Amino acid sequence: MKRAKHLFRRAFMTLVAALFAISFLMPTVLTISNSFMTQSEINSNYGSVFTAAKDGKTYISEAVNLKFIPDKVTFSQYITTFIKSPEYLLKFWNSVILVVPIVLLQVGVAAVAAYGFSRWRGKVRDSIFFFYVILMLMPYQVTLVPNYLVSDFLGILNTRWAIIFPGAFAPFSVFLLTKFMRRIPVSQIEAAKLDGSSEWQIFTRIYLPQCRSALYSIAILVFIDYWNMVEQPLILLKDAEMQPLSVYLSTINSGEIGLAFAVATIYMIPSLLLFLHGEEYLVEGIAQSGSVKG
Amino acid sequence: MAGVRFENVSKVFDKSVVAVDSFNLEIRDKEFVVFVGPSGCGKSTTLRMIAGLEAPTTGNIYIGDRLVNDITPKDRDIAMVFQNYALYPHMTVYENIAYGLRLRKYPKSVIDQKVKEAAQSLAITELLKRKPKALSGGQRQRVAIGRAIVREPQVFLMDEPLSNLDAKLRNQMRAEILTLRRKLDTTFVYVTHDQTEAMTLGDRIVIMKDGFIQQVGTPQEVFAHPANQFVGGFIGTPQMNFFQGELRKENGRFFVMLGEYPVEISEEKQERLFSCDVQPQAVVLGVRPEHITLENEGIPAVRGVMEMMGSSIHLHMQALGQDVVVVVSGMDDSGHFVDVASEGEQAMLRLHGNAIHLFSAETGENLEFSAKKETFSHEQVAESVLSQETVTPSVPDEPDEKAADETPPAPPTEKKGFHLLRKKK
Repeated sequence: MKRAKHLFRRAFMTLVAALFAISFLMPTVLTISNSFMTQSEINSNYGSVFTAAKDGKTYISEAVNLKFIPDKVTFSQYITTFIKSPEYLLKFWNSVILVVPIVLLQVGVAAVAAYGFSRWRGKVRDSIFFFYVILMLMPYQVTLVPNYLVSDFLGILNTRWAIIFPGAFAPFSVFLLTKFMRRIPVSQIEAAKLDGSSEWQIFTRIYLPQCRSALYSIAILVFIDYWNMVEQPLILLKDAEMQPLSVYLSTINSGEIGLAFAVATIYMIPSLLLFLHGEEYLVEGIAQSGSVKG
Repeated sequence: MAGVRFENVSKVFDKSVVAVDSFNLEIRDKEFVVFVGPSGCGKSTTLRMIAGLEAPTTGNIYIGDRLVNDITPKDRDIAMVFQNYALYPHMTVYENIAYGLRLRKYPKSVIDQKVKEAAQSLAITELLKRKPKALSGGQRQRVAIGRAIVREPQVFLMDEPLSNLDAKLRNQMRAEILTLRRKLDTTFVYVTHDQTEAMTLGDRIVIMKDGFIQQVGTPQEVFAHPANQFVGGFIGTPQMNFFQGELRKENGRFFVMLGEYPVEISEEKQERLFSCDVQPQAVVLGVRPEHITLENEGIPAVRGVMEMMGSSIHLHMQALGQDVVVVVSGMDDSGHFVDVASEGEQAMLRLHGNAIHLFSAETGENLEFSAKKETFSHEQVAESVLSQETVTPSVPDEPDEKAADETPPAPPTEKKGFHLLRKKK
């Protein structure tokens, strides 16, 4: 009886989890499978949606034909993306040159700042760290206006630096990494000092190698966060030429739905690869940063 | 090789917490000195000051002839073994041991040779490619020692290196440290809160409490001649028994009254008390459990619980309104276990006059050394310790007839068998 109850509970939980997984995966699967459809097949599936939207009519769900398996598999959307419509690749490159510096700078700045917060404690440093935590709790939109004003003041508005600079000094990474670094026993630093390490050597040879999983998880999270950004470029980058693909994708029109599917598929590849490669580190990094004793 | 010298060193944390106060000590070249004391006594702080991990608030520290107050840890030519090993978890055992040498830019071949030699001497050669998390506690401690010895430092510092090991491994490592010391033949400063480690390892022991040195001496000295009540209680297992008493002087002889029971004092101690010009006063009498015997006459006691230790038995006796621990042999001469009588039986305790210690009830100082701080040669101490084993009757053979009435009743002088101990049938 008890065993049957246990099995039933397990089956129920699995079913609920499967439903959640399917609902989360459906858009991704739909995007990938539809990117291999012909333009005419896509038009027949989704054409009415865009027509209705343009005419200001009510959205009719019956008009949408959600198809996962293409009638005929084609790479024509990808060929168009890579050869006929280079603006998509240009926007992809825009995303790369915005996000890669942010990730590198943020990880670098966070590592140095976290080292300072974890190595030397004191009232002033702890207060600054407290402010970091407060800042971290605020949604991005709260600081958007000050960011805009500061960018304007610095004369970097409408340049990539308006996004890269605030991105480099984000508090979340510092918080996560500080918590991680505070786990490293002081005796290791003392042993390193007696072994002859300078402060820089302690940082690079003792701290950083031990924070590899945290650094990796931060890099993944930051990359995904900024790869999908919309608000910052919309407000801080007026020049459409510099807009990343995440913004450009929202400007698709009815004739390019198939292309949008292909571009979206290409766009999710870096995030997916990064996640798959560093999944282990990501889990370890977040778990260890979270279960830290103060 | 070099000694270490402390000149009036103090360490104050946060402008109010005095960790070490007026510390003066000379550690000789190639000497093994153990700092021992309870938690918070300042022993680790003192060690860390030698290492340069803490700066003294006042005073000077010398390593050899060099004043090292302002010299960074890496330039002090010292190595340290930490309580939690402090191995770098991302490096292999080889890399851990080689790290200090690499930073000092030794040639690769020299590093390789030194690491392998150290690994061989510590029997960890097969572990060189492993990471610390794949090692047991004892192996990690060996690696930590290996990391220190490859540097061939002038002074070797050890901060409670055996505390994280289980009892069996601790005994084994203790012996290995002694062997290592013989091999390295350098100056060792060792910190522990375990008095057994201190007694077995140290050439000299520095007993500390509340930031002050309580006594410095060889293990024999501190055991046989504790400078004060704290040292008496701290050194020795089981702990020394203490009794509140009254030191009296009659007919030119000292004796102690414990309640209504007199305890005689040996000639040797009489002389010391006289030479220190000690006056009758309230005292705390200390006597080690090994120096109390169960006799037919003496201080009445009732047997409480017992702890069987194998070759010996720790008996808890109720006497003079307190718990008194007495160590008796657990085996007779023929190797049979003795049977100890059941709880609640009566017995008489005899405190041996040559092995008692008299501490001032007011200051806790040992009255035998209170006026002039005596130092003992190793031979004297050894003699004194040995004499406690075969203690002589403490009552004068021919008491002065005139003073017979005033002389305290003599404790029994012969051992007529321990009536609490019966041969097991």
